[in-house]
Amino acid sequence: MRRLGSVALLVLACSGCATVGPVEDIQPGERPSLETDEAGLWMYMDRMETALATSGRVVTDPALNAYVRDIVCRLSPDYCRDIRIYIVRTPHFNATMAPNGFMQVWTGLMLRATNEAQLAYVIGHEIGHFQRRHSIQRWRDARNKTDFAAVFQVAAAAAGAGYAGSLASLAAIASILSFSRDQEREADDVGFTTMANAGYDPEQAPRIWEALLEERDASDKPEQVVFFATHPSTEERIGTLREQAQALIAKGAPRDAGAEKYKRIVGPFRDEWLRDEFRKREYAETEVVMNRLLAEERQNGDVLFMKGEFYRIRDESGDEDRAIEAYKAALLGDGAPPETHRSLGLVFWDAGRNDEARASFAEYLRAAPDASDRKMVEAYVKELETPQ
Amino acid sequence: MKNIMAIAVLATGLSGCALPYFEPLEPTRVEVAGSYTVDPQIKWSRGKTQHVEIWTVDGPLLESVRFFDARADGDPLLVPGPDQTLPTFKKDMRASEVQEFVVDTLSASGASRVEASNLRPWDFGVLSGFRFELSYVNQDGLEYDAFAVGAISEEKLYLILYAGTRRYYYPKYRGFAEAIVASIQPAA
Repeated sequence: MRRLGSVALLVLACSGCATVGPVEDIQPGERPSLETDEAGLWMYMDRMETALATSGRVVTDPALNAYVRDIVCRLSPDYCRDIRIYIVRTPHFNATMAPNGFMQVWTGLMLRATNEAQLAYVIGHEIGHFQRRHSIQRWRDARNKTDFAAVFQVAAAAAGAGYAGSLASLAAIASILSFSRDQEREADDVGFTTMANAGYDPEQAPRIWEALLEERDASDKPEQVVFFATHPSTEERIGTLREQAQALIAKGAPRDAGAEKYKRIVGPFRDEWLRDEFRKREYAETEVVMNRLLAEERQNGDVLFMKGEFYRIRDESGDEDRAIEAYKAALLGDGAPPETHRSLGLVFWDAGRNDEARASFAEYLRAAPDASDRKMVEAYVKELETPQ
Repeated sequence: MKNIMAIAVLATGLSGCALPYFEPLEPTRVEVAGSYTVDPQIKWSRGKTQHVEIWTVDGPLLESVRFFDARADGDPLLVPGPDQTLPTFKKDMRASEVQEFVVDTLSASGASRVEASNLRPWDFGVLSGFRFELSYVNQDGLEYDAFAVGAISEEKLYLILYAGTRRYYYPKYRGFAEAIVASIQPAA
């Protein structure tokens, strides 16, 4: 914390001559001069980046990281080398862009995007913040107001070592990197133009916001939807994006959504990210996410299995029957995992349908002979065979 | 901060404010969790927070045995922080669901990449119980291994967790932890 104090002094010392006003776009490869307040801000962000990089929350899968990097480079070849991507395992819709070029893409966003074009739009939006140097404008603006102390305290806390991977820390970073409404609109414009120029279907841009609004409207605690805590109202942005998209489509714009590739690369992570969603216990919100995935893949046994898991874990009135129905549908669909039988067995057992429970567990053991919980499930079968 | 407090109690001891006062524990059979006795095997430092008794030699950040008080229907494994929602135990849970409950509690408390494996029947003293292995990463990126043993009796969950840093500390005391959980006997 003492070192942070030194950084603060440096920033404050540098800040006396700075004024709030328009700034030029950052140039590819550019770094701010050391004597500027912008350099001080970059130092903060460098610390945050180091802390985040060593936390346990960063998804390190090479193929997934290469995929997101390719999207960045397709969108913006000029800034490709300046932007470092961190896929952060956090079950909330968000992405952030720091002025020094470190971009966070939260897994909650990747779970909610149903194709590459939707993710590309959000990434393009974040590149817009970077390109337009919104952070330094925001920093100077905050510093010239009474909330500078608050901004500094948040920055210091977020940069502090020890809990870089906590949601509190991630949310603190997000709040530092929040922007004004005008900046958000500008980033929307850049994001939209960038994704359309890269050949992505422009109609996907408003769709990701629409999905988020639907989730917010279903939420029991809409004020706790992280994205909306740091972003202005979205209805107006959706309207603008829709108009822009229709205009481009009328002119024959390319319509590449990249849905299949997105499913192929992101799909293997979907179950664990969905389980992260379940753990939030914000079930109304999560049900919207589930239904959205199901709308895209009605016959996908894996998604139907996760729907069953959702009801089994939520365990509200009627959920037992809903879970059984979902598991049965999963087994009729394509690609249901063997665990579907085990979960079905657990729900049948809870419902007192012991014969069906035993049959389901036996089927699980047949479908997954090397399952690591085999001995436990064998014990379930034995217990169910024992007369009560 | 809420997440940090919970994870500190459960597994890593990141936050000083959540750590109890520790006192020496001699290697003679002792009652824990108000319901059973175990043989400590070696000298430990013993501390108690709400619902959890912690034994450690080198510090709870490095390795610890955690004895959870019996949890009843509707109880979380840990005391949630302000505005924190933790999963709760349900009296009709099976071993698979208890494993899920522990994994979810760890995850909700800030651990990441929590993986459970090798769930199997295991005798918790005189009770028919279960055991599983765990691995996870704390908020600073430190990797841990752990194992949990437990049983449900009279609609209450009894649970012991041994956790340590994957490098050095988990294997260092694992043998003693195994002997401790093998020594469970009902309290007189």
